[in-house]
Amino acid sequence: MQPFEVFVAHSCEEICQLLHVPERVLIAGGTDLIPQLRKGKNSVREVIDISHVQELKYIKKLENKIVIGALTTFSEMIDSSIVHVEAPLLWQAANQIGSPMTRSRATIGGNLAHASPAADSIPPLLCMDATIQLSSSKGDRIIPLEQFLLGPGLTALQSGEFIKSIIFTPLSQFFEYAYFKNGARKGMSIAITSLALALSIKNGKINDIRIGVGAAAPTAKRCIKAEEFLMGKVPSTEIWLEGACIAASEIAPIDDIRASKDYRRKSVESTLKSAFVEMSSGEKGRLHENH
Amino acid sequence: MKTINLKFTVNGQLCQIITLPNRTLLEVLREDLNLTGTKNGCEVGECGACTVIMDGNPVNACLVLASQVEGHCVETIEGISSHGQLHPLQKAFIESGAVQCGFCTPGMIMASKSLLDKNPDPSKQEIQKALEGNLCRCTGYVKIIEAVQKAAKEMRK
Repeated sequence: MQPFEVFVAHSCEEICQLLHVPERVLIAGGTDLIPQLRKGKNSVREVIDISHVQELKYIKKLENKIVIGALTTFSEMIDSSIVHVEAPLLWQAANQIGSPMTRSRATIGGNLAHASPAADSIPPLLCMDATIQLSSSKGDRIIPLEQFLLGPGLTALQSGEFIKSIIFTPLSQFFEYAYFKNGARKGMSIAITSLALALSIKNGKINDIRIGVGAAAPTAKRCIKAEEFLMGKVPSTEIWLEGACIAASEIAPIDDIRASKDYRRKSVESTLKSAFVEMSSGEKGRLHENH
Repeated sequence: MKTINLKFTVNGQLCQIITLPNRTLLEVLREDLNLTGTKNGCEVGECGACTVIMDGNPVNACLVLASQVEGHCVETIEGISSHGQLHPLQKAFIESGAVQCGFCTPGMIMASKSLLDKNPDPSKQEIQKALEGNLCRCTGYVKIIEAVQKAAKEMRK
């Protein structure tokens, strides 16, 4: 790798101080950064190692929300009963990231900061109305996750800022939910498309629906028009087909090395169609633990 | 570049080294500590040949920056036999025909050990999941999975 200096932070305060030099880059789990450094991301000359900042590793419940510290790894989230029981969409997505080795190191903060449109944690977090806490020497601010994600690899992080935590509202027990990842293989694959789906039916009508799609737009996104169409409707095959069609029209996939935009659009539409039908007729709870 | 001082445990022994910061745990293990059992396959965390166990969790040593290992405990393939006796996983891999060229083997064994340390009776699906980050170009994986099952049975006795 090219020469660079490493500064080690042991607290949030030290991160703030070290980030006064804006060209410095943070390393947490390193699962995205180190491959980039090997491929010659040549502008990096100074790296701040934040992996030792224990105060950013936590999963806790705060009133009706769940808060996860930015340096919590995906393995820690998988082992957490809070995440498993109360955020099963996120739990399912975490299980489909990389390999056990990736999951031991990769952090939720890193997944968000890297802001890949294919990031697995993002569609579930969007479905749970997540907000993100950003911190700098000027203080903290909290913004909706949608406003944090600006484009492929682009975030609203300002100079001197880092991610402190992610906050979201767990789905109630009345939801059916599933995370579907379309990848070239089961493990170690980047999503060609991904879908986080949560559905609640009450008195025979759809009373809440969340559709989060990844790898099919410049950022992961909710299919708001499809959700609005489906809300309040009595589920039927025709309704589901139309909802899936509307969702497929809301996304903006591209051609890239993994798939064509047409394939991605079809993938989202057909996954949604079959998921809707299965979830509204099937038994309660997890649909796919591993796809 | 300024050198950095590192203090960490490898296979139960405390190590202190001085190294350059733009290196990974994989390079430190192989070049500074002469522990060449951990292999360099891809250097980008895709193949699993460099799998070691850090604080009880499987990690790709090629993705751990040197400074990040400070204060942590690392187990490598060299450390799993004891008093000259092979670990049940090592025995099972040999006996099951799970070793051809042997290059993926240390990584496969460390990933398997990490599984069995937490889950002594894994299903075939759980073994496959635990090894999803380890590539083998020789064996076709069948014998590797059989070896893990054999070792698990042996370790449960």
